[in-house]
Amino acid sequence: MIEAERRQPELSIVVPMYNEEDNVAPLCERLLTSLTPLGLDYEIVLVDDGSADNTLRNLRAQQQRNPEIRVVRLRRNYGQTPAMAAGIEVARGRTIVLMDGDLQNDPADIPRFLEKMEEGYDIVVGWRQRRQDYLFRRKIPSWIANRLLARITGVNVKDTGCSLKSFRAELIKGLPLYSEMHRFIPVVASMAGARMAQIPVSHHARQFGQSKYGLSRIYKVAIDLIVLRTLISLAGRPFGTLGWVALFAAFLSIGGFIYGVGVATTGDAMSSVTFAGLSVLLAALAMFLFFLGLLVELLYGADELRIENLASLTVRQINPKTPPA
Amino acid sequence: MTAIIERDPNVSQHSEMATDVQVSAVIPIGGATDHIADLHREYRSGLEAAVDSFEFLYVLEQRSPALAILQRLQSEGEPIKLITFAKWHGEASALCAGFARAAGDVVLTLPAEFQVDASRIGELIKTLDHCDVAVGKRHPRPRSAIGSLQGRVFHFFLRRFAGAPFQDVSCDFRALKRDVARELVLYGEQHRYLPLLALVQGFKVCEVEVPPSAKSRNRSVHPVGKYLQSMLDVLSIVFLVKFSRKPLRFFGMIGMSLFGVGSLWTLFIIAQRVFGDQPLMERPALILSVLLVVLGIQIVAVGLVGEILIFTRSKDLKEYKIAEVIE
Repeated sequence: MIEAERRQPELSIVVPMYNEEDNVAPLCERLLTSLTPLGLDYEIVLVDDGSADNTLRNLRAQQQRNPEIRVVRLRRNYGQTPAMAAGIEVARGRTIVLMDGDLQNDPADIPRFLEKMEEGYDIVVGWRQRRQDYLFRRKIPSWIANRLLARITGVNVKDTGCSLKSFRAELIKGLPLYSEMHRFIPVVASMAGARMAQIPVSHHARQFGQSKYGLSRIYKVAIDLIVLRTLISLAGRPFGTLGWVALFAAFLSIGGFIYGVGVATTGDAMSSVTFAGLSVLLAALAMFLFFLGLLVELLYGADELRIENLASLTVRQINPKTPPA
Repeated sequence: MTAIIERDPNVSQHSEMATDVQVSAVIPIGGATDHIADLHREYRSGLEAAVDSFEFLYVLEQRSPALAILQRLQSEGEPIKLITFAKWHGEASALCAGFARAAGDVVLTLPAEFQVDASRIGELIKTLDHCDVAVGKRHPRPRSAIGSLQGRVFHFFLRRFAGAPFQDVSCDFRALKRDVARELVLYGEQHRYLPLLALVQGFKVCEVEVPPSAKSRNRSVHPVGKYLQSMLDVLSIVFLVKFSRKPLRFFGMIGMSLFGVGSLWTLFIIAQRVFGDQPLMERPALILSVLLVVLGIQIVAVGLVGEILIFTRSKDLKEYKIAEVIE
């Protein structure tokens, strides 16, 4: 009977942990003290991302004592996003809450996330108040990144770096989550038309262990942003977007050609060679982009995951449930 | 494509035990081998000294002359499984076919020639207690001066660019935990760099010193071209592992630098035309700078297509493997 109950709990908390041996016990304790009073059926999915320290042993010990805890052991260290994806795959709850294992998020905020979810949102994103981090290494880069992200993607997420988020399970299980995409879950979800809410959460300084972030991620985030922007603009009309760039290059090419011929007739042969050369280069670019556009059309067209299919993740039945017979 | 020839279960008593085999030895036979029976006996005595139960998986081409010899050994009651390919697809696919059918907790790959002292198998298996992959390192290794110099240069590059501290990466005498063997997908020439592949995927790899086999024949020196080819192979492995889920980080870096240099240069030339009164017709450099811009755009565009490919297929390309769920 307990088995049957646990098959679909209301809530799953998914926490990826990498070398967080000292944080395991306090995290579990805080999670349990803030979740138990809610009186709902929940599970805690703790993912050990191939830690080299005693994280796994501590997780096992916690799991022994608390039946709500499930521990997922990954075969080796894969990184934060794959660890989250693994936890999400294993989670059975109808609502999934993601958070960090470093105690910088406060589990006491979770009930407020659930309230928001009750209001009908698909995704609720935290927004750290009075962030306890280094100003120059962490806060300023992340402020710039957030502004940039909002501008480029058109989705205004106040605090992309906050890991505390909650989702309807079908939504998060259907979203592409790989590489370091976890930062952009809200953006991708909004692309799919998800209803998003943002609520302020408290933030604590790291007590134990090392931060796994550094400044090196700026290049990575910038590249990921370009990718995301491209994915967004290509998803609707794959060929259309690249086609426009191709057309622009073709236009320049033809212009250069006409000018080159014009100059040639006036007797300036050298200059016409330069322009003809430019024209040929640009024509090559136009052709290349044209065919690449067709290839992209093929990729999107042949695949299940088009933007319409993403949108189906947010489809929801509004009719009241049929009363049990 | 592959077929397993197993012994008649009525005749043998070993097949019952196939479920709790400790060690599976995978031996791909690519070329002609006339000494396979001797080799088998040598490996067999090495394994007998080390573990209680084991099996041999020979992977070979249907037409191989070794097949008849192995079938005879099989009918004599040797614990042999034969996996045959209708056509030889290379050692990498042979190893994969063997790994997929290996029942043991430990999988050995053994060369189909007298390469190392087979009595060290036990030592190799024991090394797996504290790592995921154990690789033999031939020592002392009788080689010509040129051969050993080439090998040294190759391993220096391996260390420098792939961060892999191996001294004999191409030794075919290896032991793997079964999970690791199942996870490695090898193709082309990658079987040569199996330890590198395992290392960059996050597994722990140890080298174990083994003396060469007493019967090992002095092997000829590889031509220089072969080492250059190996460099390219190593580069492709590092690229695959580092950027397979984020192609634009690689293409973008190259494409955007070309684009940046090209556009700055173009602007400079145009500025010289406008302000310095230097006619464009005297500047073939303009074509070069625009060529850089065009190349840059193309490379970035190719990277973006790669990203789209990964994004749209991300649900099929799982990056992680769950070892267990404790509940």
